[in-house]
Amino acid sequence: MWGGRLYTNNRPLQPNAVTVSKLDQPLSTPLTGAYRKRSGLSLRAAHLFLLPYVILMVLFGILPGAYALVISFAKFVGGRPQYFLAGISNYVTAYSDFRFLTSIGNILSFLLISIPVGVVGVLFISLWLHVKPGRVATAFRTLFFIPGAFAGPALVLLAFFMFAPTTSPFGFLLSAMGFQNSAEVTLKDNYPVLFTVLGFFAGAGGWVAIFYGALDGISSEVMEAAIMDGCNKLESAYYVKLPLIRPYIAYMVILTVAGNVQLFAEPQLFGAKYWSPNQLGYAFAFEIGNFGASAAISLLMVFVGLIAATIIIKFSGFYQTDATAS
Amino acid sequence: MQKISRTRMAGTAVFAVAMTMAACAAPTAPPAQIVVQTAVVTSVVEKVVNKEVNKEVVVTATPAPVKSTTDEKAAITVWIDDTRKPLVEAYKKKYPEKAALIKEEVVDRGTFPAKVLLFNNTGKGWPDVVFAEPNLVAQVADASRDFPLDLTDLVPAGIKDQFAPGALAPCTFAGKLLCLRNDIAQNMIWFNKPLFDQFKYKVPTTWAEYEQLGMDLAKDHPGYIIGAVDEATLVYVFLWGSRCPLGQARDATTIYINLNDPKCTRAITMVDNLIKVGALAKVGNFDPAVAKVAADNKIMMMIGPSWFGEYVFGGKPESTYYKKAEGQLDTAVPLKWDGEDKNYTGFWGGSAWSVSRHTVNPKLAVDFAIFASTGVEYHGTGPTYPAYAPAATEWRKTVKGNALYAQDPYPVMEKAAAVMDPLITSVRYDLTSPFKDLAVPAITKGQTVASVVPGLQKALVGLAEAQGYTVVTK
Repeated sequence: MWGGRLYTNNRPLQPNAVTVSKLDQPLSTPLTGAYRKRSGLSLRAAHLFLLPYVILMVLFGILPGAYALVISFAKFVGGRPQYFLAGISNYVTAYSDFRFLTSIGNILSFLLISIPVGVVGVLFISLWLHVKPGRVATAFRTLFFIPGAFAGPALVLLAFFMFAPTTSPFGFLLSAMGFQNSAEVTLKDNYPVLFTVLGFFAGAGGWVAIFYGALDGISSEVMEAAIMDGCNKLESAYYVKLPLIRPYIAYMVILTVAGNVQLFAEPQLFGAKYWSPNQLGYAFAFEIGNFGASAAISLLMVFVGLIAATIIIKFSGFYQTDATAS
Repeated sequence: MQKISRTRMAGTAVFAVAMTMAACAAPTAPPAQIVVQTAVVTSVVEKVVNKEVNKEVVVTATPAPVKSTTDEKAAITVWIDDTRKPLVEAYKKKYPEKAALIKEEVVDRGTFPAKVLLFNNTGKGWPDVVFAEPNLVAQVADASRDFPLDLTDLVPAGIKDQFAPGALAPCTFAGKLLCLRNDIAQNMIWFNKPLFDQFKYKVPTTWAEYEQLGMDLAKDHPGYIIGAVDEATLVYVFLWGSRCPLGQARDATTIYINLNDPKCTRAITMVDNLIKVGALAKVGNFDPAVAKVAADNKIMMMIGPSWFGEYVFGGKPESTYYKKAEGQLDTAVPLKWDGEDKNYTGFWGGSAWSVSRHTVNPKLAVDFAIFASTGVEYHGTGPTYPAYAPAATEWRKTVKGNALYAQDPYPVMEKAAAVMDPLITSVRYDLTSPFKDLAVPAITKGQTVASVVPGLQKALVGLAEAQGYTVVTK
């Protein structure tokens, strides 16, 4: 997972897609009928399909996370951990650091811009492309997807040229906005906007493809009914399509909040040292040698992501489609 | 049924987040951190823990497991950069019997401090000799890394005495010599002689004259510059040149930081004044905008390190400033502030050789480090001003031959090398980063450096404290 990405490359997982794209069918079909009668220990196809994901998640997600939790309570002497000797001192060190609040403020300002812009932008593009499906829409979807094919850091380096009035193909736009050189464009005050632009072009294509898929999954009967009732294109997009793809929107918000909180590559490559909490965590580990404080900051980001996910799931009507369908 | 589905979806979402987060928290969890330590080693570490409670950070305080046995036939690993390859070749040529024992590796030395931490965790893998700047040596000399070998008694006095005065000061930490300087990068004046002759200006000898020159130039010849301002020149040229206490280590744990000292404000005021009239470029020496000024032949002078002549002005088609060598570049000794007993100068770079405390072949490692920093065979024709005086004398012949210079620049370089401010010490963090964060954006936005001094002071103090220093402001 690329930490600095505005939109993560995670695709919605299968249960979710099934739930939404087949609104007219009873939900959770696999859990009923024959499957249900089998013994709980028998290996289901679904388990096999999930296995690679689970193994990788345990190896690269759960275990490192648990390890971070352990070393966040370890004291580091000579760069070596002494387990469970630190108490909460690493948390105190990390959260009272003079850069900590600034970095939290920075990341909040970035989230405040990037999440709404990302969600609204992606929704707008998807609904617009879905007005008239066909070759043109497919071509555009592919076009939007291409920047996402670049690796994160390469994309940031490319962005350097894009943001420099003298070298950018959009230099005339930047000049028109009053920017004379790249230093003026890449001032820290502009970071949230710059990273939003960068992230949008890097990640929007992937989400457009997902949303477009969700829109395609809406039953044609529902759409026909809407037209019969006199819905125009705008109304059907707003009153019919949008509510039906709400779980996808919630899902996108969860993943982008989780991804964006961990911003690292962009400020690092732009030359700002302690701009985001993730960078501060890195500094604790590799400048100061305090892996414990570094882990404390990483865990804070896990916590933020989990809280955000919980709130969104609870209050966004993430499961509304379940309710309506059953 | 519905409930199961909900739980599943919630689980999926939470799992996805957890995975995303945990995967990216990976940098904090270096691999193979669990080291199986013997009982003896553990007890040593325990003792140190107790000591550490009282003293937060003590340079070279933590004995990691050190091998007591030495082996004079063991091979050593030497970390170098690409430019230093000929040096290793020179050593192998001079001592063919030891050639097989030198394993050189080209390494990005910026990662040196981080890698030492990981080696400490695994208890093996340290390089034996490392080419890196004294500020990196300072970082690896902290309590958590504790890497360098104390060379104080291992390098003969006769060799130490022949380094340029002050050259070894940045390598000296709490009285211990932890590295040997490879080259020094003393700042001095580089000026365009034909332009000074044409405009009938006098080359300044004091900072007051320098400021006046900038004012006159801005009035009579707008567009010409006498310097460039970014985080590097602010720290290395202007503030260090003014003896500003922006991070002077008093001992291993105490550091003196006071940007409100008159020695700082006088330099900051001057820089602000000169930026305002346009005599100083608002971007650094390597910005394309300054290269353009050079191409238009509008650089009157620059205050820069001894490597500016060969590497920045150049006089070769691929050089940054001067594409032709026409005897246009001249040099002058560093400027003096009114009220100081003499002129002092800062420096910009200049690397060093350090030896690992963990080496099993200290004799060969120290031997190599001495050759690497003093060997006339290499430094006589090397790329930068040698820190070792006898090698520097030899090196003079090399620069003298460059048609770029109006006259032999060596005498000025030698004088500048002698006035490097002994108050400048190496610290364990990057002094320039607050200036990059705060001062450079202020300049870009048309504000003064003086306006961000409170923020700079706070950031410099914060960085020092985060590294375990006790900060004093007087």
